[in-house]
Amino acid sequence: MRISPILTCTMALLALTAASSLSVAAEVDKAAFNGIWSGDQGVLWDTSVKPGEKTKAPFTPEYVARYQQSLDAAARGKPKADPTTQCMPPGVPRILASPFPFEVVVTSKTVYILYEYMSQMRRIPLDGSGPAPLGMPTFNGHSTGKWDGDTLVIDTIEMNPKSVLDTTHFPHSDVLTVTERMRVSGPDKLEISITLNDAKALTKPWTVVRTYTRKPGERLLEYVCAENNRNPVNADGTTGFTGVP
Amino acid sequence: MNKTTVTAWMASGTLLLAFAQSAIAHHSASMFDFRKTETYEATVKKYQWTNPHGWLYLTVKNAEGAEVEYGVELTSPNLLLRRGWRPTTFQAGDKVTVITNPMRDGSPSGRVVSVTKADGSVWTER
Repeated sequence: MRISPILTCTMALLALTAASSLSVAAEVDKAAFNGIWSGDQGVLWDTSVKPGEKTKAPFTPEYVARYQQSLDAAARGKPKADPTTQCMPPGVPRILASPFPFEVVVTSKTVYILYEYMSQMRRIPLDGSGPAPLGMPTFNGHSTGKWDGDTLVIDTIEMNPKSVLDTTHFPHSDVLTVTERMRVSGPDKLEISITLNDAKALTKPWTVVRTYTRKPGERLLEYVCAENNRNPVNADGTTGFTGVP
Repeated sequence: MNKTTVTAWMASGTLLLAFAQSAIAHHSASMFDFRKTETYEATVKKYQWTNPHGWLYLTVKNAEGAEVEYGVELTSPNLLLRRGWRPTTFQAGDKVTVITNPMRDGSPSGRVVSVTKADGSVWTER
């Protein structure tokens, strides 16, 4: 049977269009991640509840008790100190809930995220490149990243258990790992789905979603916490206050 | 700890109080009573434009008519700047009316709610 040249041409054209559509759909606009962003949800970690509602985090019994102790201390007006009290950094994942803006810089081998709060920087090597884990905890942990379609996936391990997730002293253990799934969900919107895996603190993996708005024309300012910090830490671990003249 | 006890912990009302106070994010925030406000006519003594907090030191007259110093905690100047405040917004000697959330322990300090200058301008951080 002889296939008409017109049919062959048409089929070839359709095949070409389909192929190029597939390749365009698979290519994420990485440049759209670049820029300065500011958080929409405020500083409390559990974005799935309103401020004032109890958290939905599936804490283990030990961590329910630990969290309750912190909440009780704060309710008495004697909050426990956390590392930021002494101008140590918030760490990962708390920095994701910062009220200060951050800047994302995507290159072919690395994503850099510059945070205004305490001038923190995360360097996230992509696709298996970059140094091996340190084998010891740090505030920002050890991150690696990869592209998954339109999403940047960042896995972080080895975070310092001294840090907490928000101002209520939301706790984590030394075995916490964090997976961020970051995508540009609109022309001026960044969305990060953040999953916590913590076998000591949580009975199962637990995810919250945070969104960020693009701030064109914004600039990252300096933040030197040690300049005028008024919150010493008392011997009993509560936060002191030297604000009274 | 059994499951029922865990549920009881989670239902504790103190969780609600802590969340309410965390609207302003800071380690020292629970030292202030956010359910109360106080208003003072004051004179600016000193204005500090520093991280992690800006400060306004004021001279106020207490209930007995004596002049005392009162410290007003502000947020980070990074956030103040974005709200239009500047390092020059207040000068020593300025007459202001200030509304604060007071310290729970009654000491002469508070968290800013608003500062109104003699020219009528009202300065807030949120």
